[in-house]
Amino acid sequence: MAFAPPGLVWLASYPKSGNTWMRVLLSNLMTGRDEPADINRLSEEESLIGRWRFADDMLVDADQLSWQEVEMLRPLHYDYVADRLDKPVFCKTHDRFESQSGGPILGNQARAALYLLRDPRDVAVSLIHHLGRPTDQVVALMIDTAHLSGGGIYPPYLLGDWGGHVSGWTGQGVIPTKVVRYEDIRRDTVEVLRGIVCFLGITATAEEIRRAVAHSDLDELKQQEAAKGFRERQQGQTQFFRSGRVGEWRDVLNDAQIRTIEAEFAPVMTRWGYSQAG
Amino acid sequence: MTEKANLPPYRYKIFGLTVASEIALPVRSSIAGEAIGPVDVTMRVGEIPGRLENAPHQGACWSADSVRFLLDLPAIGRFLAADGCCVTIQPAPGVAIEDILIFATGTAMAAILYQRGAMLLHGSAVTHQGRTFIFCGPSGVGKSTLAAALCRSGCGFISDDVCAISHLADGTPIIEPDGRVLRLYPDSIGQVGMEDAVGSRVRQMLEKFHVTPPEHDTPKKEAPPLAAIYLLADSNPVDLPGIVRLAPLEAAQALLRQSYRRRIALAYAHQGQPAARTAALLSRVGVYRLSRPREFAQLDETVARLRTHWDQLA
Repeated sequence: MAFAPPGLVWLASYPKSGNTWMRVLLSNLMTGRDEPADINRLSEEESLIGRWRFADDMLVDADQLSWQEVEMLRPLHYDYVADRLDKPVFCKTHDRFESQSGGPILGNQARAALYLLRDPRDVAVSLIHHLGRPTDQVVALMIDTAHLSGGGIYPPYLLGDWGGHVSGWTGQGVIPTKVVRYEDIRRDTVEVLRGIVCFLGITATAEEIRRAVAHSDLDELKQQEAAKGFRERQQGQTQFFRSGRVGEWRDVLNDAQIRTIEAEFAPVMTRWGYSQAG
Repeated sequence: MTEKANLPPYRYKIFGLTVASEIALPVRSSIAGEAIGPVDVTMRVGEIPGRLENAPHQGACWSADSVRFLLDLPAIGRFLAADGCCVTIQPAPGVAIEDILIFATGTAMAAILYQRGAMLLHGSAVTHQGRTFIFCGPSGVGKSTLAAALCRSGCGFISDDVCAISHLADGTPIIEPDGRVLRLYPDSIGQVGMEDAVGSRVRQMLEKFHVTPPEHDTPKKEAPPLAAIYLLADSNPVDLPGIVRLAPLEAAQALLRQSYRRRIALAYAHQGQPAARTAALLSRVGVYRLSRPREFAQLDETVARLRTHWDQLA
């Protein structure tokens, strides 16, 4: 069975960049069962970054605090927890790296992070389905540097714009971070997972990696969602796990929407190998 | 013992305890000083150390030993609860004390109660036709909004956020009101039609307000017997809207998880005996998961579902 060193690992990304898929991959790798992991047992409610855990550990409720106060207390929370972990914990987050005051919002005691990155034009397409909003609204959200997200099981947090999110995570030197492109996971999942296993110091055989990838196949996830539903599907969304097709934006976005995204994020897109159409 | 002449001037009934405070508190049960007998708890402003030395129980911003609990929130304030009877508050520099009292009446008072052996649930409570119902869940799940909607539909209001469980001589479980009014965001206030009942802000920087619910069916003294505990959850494609009774083991685990400030309860478990208290409670009261859509538009459906369930329980 695969073995990971104890400590906290952030699975960080802008939304709709492959984070859930990575959680499924790691869940299948670490549990090592003969059958695929249940997509409805990814344990979100007690997530380290959720409201319940914040109140349980910090003894104040997030909704008694301004979001700036929450932002100030969060690194204290995560560092305290990370320092005392005696088992591996992988935690999904859509947080930016830096808080408004400039410090690392997630603290600095995590042992590592994976930062998942996806072509912002395909992120837009996925967000349209996820949020059920018009394309222009989604594009506006992605370029809004002050966009606040959260609600439900998560306290409010600063998501901001796509480019700033990517630059913050990929430019920091506080937490050892491996950047993983969604398109590369789609192209060669086994090879990418092998690189992640190596980076995180996980002990796993080639067969365990191959089986984890097979159990996390998009068709398998779609089949589970069709059969049992998926807790994380938004109201109004018909299906969480969709095609995952690379380059779908060419069929969905109009020229103006493509130009807006490319003009806003050109340097970051170029840095990560996303060529511009215009 | 503190001389009566030295006791702080403001008097309140909170969780069944008489509290004498130096500062006016944002609670609803202010009482006349002469008519209420001995003071159980004092609340004062004073100097507090940053940490309790050698405290066996600790977190990122708190520590506790057998008789003291300290909460240290940077840039907000420090709160000390000692000996089950003394709360001390020290605001951080530049912070108005009125703006941080919510932590004194919440977390610090919870520590006082746990030091005295109490059992607390994180929930709001209402009464209906001689029975009390509790709605538990983490902050933000919609406890206060649901309580407000139930009050608007004719229920009596008991507690907004914390329920102290106690038992009558025959074992009947009852709850001691937390003394607070509802705390709601403007969208919830509009939805439940309580614009006329809005009071002060919960904190100056928060868009959340104290709201006094209508008094109909609200008991003047102790609340009627506890009849059911609901765990509030968002419905989703897997957990559809509905009410499901939990099996005993799951119910016991859920109640421990819903303890108000659970880690303080565990620090003073030798006083509160939570396992035995939970077993005693479950022998008298059912615990149910109430899954419902979060959307305001469907709030009335949830109220109707609960009323049907109460009829069935009867």
